[in-house]
Amino acid sequence: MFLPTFISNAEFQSARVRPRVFFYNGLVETTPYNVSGLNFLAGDSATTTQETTYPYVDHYTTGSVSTEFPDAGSDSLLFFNEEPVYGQTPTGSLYTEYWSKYIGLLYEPKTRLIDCSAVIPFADYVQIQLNDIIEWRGNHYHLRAVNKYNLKNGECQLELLGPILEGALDNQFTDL
Amino acid sequence: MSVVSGRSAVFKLIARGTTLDQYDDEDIFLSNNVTGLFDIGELPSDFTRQITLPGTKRNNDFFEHVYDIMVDEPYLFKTNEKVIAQFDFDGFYVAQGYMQLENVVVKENKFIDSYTVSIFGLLSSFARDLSSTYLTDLEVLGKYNHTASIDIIKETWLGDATTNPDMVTNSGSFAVGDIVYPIVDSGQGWVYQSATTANNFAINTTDANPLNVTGGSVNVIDFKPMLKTKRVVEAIFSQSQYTFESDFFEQDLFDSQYMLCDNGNKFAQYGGLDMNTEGLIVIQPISGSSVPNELLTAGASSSLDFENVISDPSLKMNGSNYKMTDNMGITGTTFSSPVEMEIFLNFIVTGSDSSVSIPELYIKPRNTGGTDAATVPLNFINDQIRRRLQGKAGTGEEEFEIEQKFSVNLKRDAEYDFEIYFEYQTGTTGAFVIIGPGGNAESTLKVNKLNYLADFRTMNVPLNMPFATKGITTLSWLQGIQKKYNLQIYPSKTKPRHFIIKQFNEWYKEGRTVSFDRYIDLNKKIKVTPANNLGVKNLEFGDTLDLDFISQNFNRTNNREYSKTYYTDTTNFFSQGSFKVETTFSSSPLRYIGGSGAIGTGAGTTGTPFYGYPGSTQSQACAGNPAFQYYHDGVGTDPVSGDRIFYNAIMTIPVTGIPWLAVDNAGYDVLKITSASGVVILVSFCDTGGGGPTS
Repeated sequence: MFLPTFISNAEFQSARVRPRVFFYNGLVETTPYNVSGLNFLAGDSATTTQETTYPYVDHYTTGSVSTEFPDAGSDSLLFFNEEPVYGQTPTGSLYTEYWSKYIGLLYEPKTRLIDCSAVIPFADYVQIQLNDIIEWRGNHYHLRAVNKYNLKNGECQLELLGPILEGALDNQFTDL
Repeated sequence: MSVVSGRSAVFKLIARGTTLDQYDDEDIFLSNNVTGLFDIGELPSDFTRQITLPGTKRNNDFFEHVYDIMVDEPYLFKTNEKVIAQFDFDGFYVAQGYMQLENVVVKENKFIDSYTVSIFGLLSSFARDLSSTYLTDLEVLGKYNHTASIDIIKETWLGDATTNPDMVTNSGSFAVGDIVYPIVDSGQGWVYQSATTANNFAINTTDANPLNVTGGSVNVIDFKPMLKTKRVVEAIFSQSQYTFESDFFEQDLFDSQYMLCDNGNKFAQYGGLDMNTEGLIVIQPISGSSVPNELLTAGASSSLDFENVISDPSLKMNGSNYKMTDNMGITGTTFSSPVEMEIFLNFIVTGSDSSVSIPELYIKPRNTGGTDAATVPLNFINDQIRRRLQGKAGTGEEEFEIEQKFSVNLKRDAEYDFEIYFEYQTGTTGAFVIIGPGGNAESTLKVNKLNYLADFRTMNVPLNMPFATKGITTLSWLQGIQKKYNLQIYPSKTKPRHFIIKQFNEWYKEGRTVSFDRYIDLNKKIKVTPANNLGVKNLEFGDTLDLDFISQNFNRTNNREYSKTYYTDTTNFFSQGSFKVETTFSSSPLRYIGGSGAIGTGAGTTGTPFYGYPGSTQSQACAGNPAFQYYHDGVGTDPVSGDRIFYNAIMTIPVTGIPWLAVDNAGYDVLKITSASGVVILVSFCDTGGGGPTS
């Protein structure tokens, strides 16, 4: 049995901890233990049962194939996957699944940030989304920012980032 | 009007549904940024602008008589309340959020010249709203309040596949699967009997009167619920009267992800009654009055008479008598509940007999108005007395300071006087017990837990939201989720007070391709910057290091924080500095529960526990020093030659540095530890005729 434990010292005094999130992975067999409480149906009498399973919570989901323990394909709540208490260490962490592509773009030596001025009519401005791919002089860029957009005359400052990420054009078909 | 652009008539500043008049020559600028591309993990502010509005009749009506200190409510415009406002262009919310009145300029002390107001964009408004609300303020989570009982708790373990969904849904007003009760250790010190040191509650004790442990179990009061993470996200938007749309939170990933409702106390909060104080007491004797307390006759009980009340927050003490709480979650006057107690006793055993007499102590909870509760033998203390006195030529005088946990069954609303008496383990006369010899008032009696106090009470979810040490704002919590998943959070352009939340990896592929050849002004300078020049050398990704013992211990032991990962820019010679992408959350290793796992698919490999007397020599091991618990990897009850000996149940720390070990079994086998991996050989036996180890 492996449990989240929130104590302030080795004497097991309770601790005020920051928010904790877990995956609930169902019941797992363990050495029998006692659970005791009042039973409404039994006239509020107390019952003690020996449970042979316990609710298993972990930083990882159960496996991508049918298993009750994590495997290589499990989801993780950690930026770096520590050794699991059961099963295998998942290959994907929060960093590899959600951040590495973004950081790869940011730190790619070829990536350039371009600051330039533009005049965009309001009717076009309101349709621009920040995930639009900007095509300019034959190159594609991510749109980082539209700053100081003047509602009077459409003048603004643009920040463009390129080259674009692989796959960024996969769903692209519309043009202004 | 203020914003013209040739279409001035269609721009409107609308506040609380009123279109305000504006000056024609006011410039309005908008900015729109990708969420923290270089300010990683930050929510950007979209629009903040101070503008001046004319003192027209319509504006005067809106702002009421704010300038006139003679006018009182209800006519005065409330400057301390936020005013929902937006800039509107043909149904596009080019800037939406709220407006703050900064000042009013008055002419001739009677005419309004102008009003200066600040308009905050939606993200700014959102951030400000959320930064003033704590997780514990999320009243909308009250819909997850429910009646807690052991049966409902066990039903939640079945998740979406509960066998009795009515039991769960009837307890509150939420969907099956939204709430799950895990077992966590918030100070209970869960342990199995086979792995505990003597004198502890074990969660698998079935013997009503075991030698070294008192009965233990997991009760409703020990549980804390978990709520689906996405329900917390929904609650944050709902309470602040915003809406959002997000396919990301509809993934399977969030069907099994939960946040623990743990506000930091040992027990959860239930509406109207604090489980962490109700019925809990700490009392001590008063020197000269309660102690010394001489127990001279076997079987004759005497009140402990601990009148010095150290702690009694729920006022249960009447002198030295303890009044069992009436605040149970059910009705019924005959109802009783197990109560976990702890006693620290300072006493001496004294006697002048030539053959040793060994007393044993009992606690007798005497009901001052009815039937007494069952007496409890203080088994651990009695075992220590036996070990100390056994083999002596006479009783003599021995002083003890020993702590023992025990459980008693107390009736609701009854008043108890805790009495103590002794019987003889061996011998029948000649030994006496004196509690608090010489007036020593260090003995202590505690009530630590009323096992059934929480049964059938209403679990209040908002009250149990995490608080950490100084509160968790809903903004910082949401930023924590944003940082974990690299989310893009941005306002809708067509729907007021509405946000769109997407994960970066999906978001960046969902836009259109837009040609900007005709928009970019080539007559002005264009600046090109290598992007990694803007980045830092070292990026650190992780949850926040918490202050709890498990987190800190992992950090100390491993010289790193649990689950932290680091990105170092090795491609740019010039990059420097570091930046932390750190969430509001924390994470720490799960703790192995000693003695568990010997059975079932969740089994870890655990050793067989035994007690042994360590020694640097064979004779020292047999000299009767204190025994400690060890584990062996053999198949029998006791270790034999060839087995390995470990300090811990999961057998990762072999016993080294102890050359000899006398096993606490019938023959007191003497083992010699022959290698650094803890392998032993059986050498000899200590015992020559019963009793304890002897050289």
